[in-house]
Amino acid sequence: MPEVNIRHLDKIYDGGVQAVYDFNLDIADGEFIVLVGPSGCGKSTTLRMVAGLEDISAGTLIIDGKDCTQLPPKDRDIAMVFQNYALYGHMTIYENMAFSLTLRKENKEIIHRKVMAAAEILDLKTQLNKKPRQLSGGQRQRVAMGRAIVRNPKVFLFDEPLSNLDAKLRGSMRRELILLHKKLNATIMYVTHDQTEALTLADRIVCMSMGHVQQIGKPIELYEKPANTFVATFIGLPPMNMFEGKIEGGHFKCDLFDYPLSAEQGKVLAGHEGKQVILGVRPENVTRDGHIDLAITNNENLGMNTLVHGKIGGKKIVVCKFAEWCNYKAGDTIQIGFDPEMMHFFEMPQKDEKGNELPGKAIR
Amino acid sequence: MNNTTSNPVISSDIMRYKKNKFGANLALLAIVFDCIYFMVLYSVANDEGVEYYATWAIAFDVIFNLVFLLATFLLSEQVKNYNSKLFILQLILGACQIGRIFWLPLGGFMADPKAIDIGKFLVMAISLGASGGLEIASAVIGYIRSKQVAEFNQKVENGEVDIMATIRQVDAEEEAAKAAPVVAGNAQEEVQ
Repeated sequence: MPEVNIRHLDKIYDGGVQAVYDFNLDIADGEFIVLVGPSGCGKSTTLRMVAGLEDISAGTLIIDGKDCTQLPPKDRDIAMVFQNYALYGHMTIYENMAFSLTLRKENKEIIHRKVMAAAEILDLKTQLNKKPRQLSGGQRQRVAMGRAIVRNPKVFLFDEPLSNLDAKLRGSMRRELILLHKKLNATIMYVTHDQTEALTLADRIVCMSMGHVQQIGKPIELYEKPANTFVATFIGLPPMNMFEGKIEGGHFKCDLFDYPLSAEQGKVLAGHEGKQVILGVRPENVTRDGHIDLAITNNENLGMNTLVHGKIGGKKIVVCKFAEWCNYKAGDTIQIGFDPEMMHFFEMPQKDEKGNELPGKAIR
Repeated sequence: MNNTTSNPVISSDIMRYKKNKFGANLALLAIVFDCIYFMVLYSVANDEGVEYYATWAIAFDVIFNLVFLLATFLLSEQVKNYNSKLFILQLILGACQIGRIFWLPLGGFMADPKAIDIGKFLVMAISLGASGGLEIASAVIGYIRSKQVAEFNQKVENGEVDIMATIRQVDAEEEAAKAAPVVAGNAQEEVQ
């Protein structure tokens, strides 16, 4: 069974710049892993190290029980799909899909059977005699996937494959990817900076920032129980509202408001009495039954819900998401509160020995 | 390279997605041999004291060569795409190439054997023969394959052939063949 075990992976470039720090991950057979994070967080570098396109500075990579740390890409039995498709413009779709097998000098009939099977899965049978320029972006990306499928690799690697597509096509391709994963039951590592892709596709998400893994977990875990302030603000759209304040006498106190804590919250935060903490509340967990005055600045109706932007105390901008059509006007004031079950508390950010700011850890 | 038993449906289906490069390359090779022929001929025709070629015939030969080169190149593209419409034209061109052996090369050799020795004559004759032969072979292969593809397409359109079902069947047979020795081996172990 093709499992992938990544142990203490580091990437240090020649100039001494470290792109990935101590990356550890065990990927089960047939698991869909999504690496998500902002640009420059090291997710693509990690994927390229798994693919063999970047040298591994330290650590080990084991694919299906075989140490692949020093193996060249061709011997790792992996297939990679790139953002820019990387198709050969002078070849037909059939030839593009068959190319890797042709290079291996496979039997023509075997190649044909594999290409036709992949074309059927990806609904490309009618396009096989066309050239890539005659296809839409989504179809080209499907060809790139087809080229990976025909190789029947142990692991599929996807490097932001949907980034070149428009929003509508991206949505349909996402659904196709989910179906494809179910059909092939393949082990997939998928890199994206789009949290929607991460949340919809992944069995487990690896959230990265500045070369460090911030959290590994199921999409719902990252959404409901973020490990730190980075994950809390990165996952979820619009991002989580954050308030800095102190825990004092069973209350969260900041210069904008004073919010009572539930008994359960009080227990969890008992060790932080008098200390500075960060309160995080997702826009969808803001309620309209509290005591905090929110001066509305903008009302965005999105059909099934409304995004309300406003300021507390004339300073702090807060975004609320109400599951109904609202007609607030700029200047209106409403009273808001927070769903006590969905209030997240974090420690204040710390600095590491190099002076880099580390996100505040969740208090649980 | 893996060896598998050839399946007629699959091998015919492959032709629908792969160009007839073999047939087209034969036609291009015919061009190469024609070039060898006219390079030898025109070098001889330029020699001092060779009177035989100083006639309208050499002009006609030049024009024929140009027509042959252009037509064969275009026909090679037709062959590549399994188009048999101009198959007869290709056969005629091939026959003309072979016929040309008996015109300027043989005529020159007979008229002035000192200017055109047996070696040059043979090079020209073999080049023209090869060029004509390859042109005819390209035409015949192109015609046969284009008919095969047309017939297969017709069968697919009529629903007489289900390609994906055939592929699935072959895959299943192959899987069964792979599993068979393992099952037989296990059974033998149990008996022992």
